[in-house]
Amino acid sequence: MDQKLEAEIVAKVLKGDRKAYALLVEKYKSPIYNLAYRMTGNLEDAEDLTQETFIRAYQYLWRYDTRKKLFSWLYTIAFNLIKNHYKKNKKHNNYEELSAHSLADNNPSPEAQFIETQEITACILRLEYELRALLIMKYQQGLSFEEIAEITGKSLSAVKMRIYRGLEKLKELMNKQDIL
Amino acid sequence: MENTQYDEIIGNIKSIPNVCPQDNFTEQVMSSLPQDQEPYYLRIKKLILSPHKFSIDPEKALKGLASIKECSLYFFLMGFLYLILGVAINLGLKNYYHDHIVQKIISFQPQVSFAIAVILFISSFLLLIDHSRLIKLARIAIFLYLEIIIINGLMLMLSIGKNLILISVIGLVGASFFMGVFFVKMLQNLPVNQEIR
Repeated sequence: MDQKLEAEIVAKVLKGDRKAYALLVEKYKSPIYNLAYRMTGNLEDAEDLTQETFIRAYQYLWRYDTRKKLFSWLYTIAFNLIKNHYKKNKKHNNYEELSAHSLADNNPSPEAQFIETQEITACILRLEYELRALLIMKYQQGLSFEEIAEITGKSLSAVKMRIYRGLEKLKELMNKQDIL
Repeated sequence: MENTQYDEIIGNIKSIPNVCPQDNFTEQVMSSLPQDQEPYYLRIKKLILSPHKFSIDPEKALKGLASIKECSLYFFLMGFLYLILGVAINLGLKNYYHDHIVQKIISFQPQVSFAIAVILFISSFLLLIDHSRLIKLARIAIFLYLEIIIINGLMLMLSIGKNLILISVIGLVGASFFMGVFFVKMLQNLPVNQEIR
């Protein structure tokens, strides 16, 4: 689905074709759900936040500028919702729960590698919110620096610097855990 | 950054598996969407605040990147400026029309401004219709505008003579001429102009 087709779908939705919105939800539910899950470490929260992202996007679709990428716009909404959620639930640390859920997934990886993945995930969850978000977007979701800058509203150099700092911190944490 | 000491960490992050939402997630979202009936104030707000497909960027217009609608907007705005100018001059000269101090050429200035405003409004309208022949007409209208500006400017300068007011007249005529050149350039660089030529 290219940007032109997306713009056409958005135009349809704005004209009252609600069903067309399902195409957009279908396309972007997985990356947004993944971001929410990796940020919160909780499947229920991730689902609620993803759902809230799509409802919010539907309500404010008229504000979306079709010259820009829909993907970045949706990510910005998701990013802000997750940030608010994080602020509200700052006291709770969910990485243990995340590990439990990860074990429940039917992943074909060997056990050792699987445990290592859980440990890495737990280390990422120990990072401060912003660094975690940037690392996930960049390396787990494969977004470009430019896209991340657009989503987070930061300059390109600030994003690069923070990602570098995030990698540095993650390395420290992983060394402490003897993962590296 | 990626091919350095952090390769292993980056590889580890990339290896984190993706998770998928429930199969009926889309249905859940669709059933939770708010109803479309919205209050009138929100409709007005949407109309005003929704992103428009045109912007005011003269540099873009000169490079030929502006759409015809954007060009039309420039013509309309300039026409509106002349309309206001005409009204202002008319109001300013109202009490002096029968006075011999006001030279004839000056007393014609409101009419000149209104005529230019009409030319620019027509050009704006022609561009809005977006037809190659009409764009050609808009170009002719702009050359007419330039001619009026130059002739009227020269006559004004000659009638005023060596006077301090001459500076403001030169400024005004110069700015109007510059705008005319801008319009000509903009029309020449319109992508649709390739077909006209």
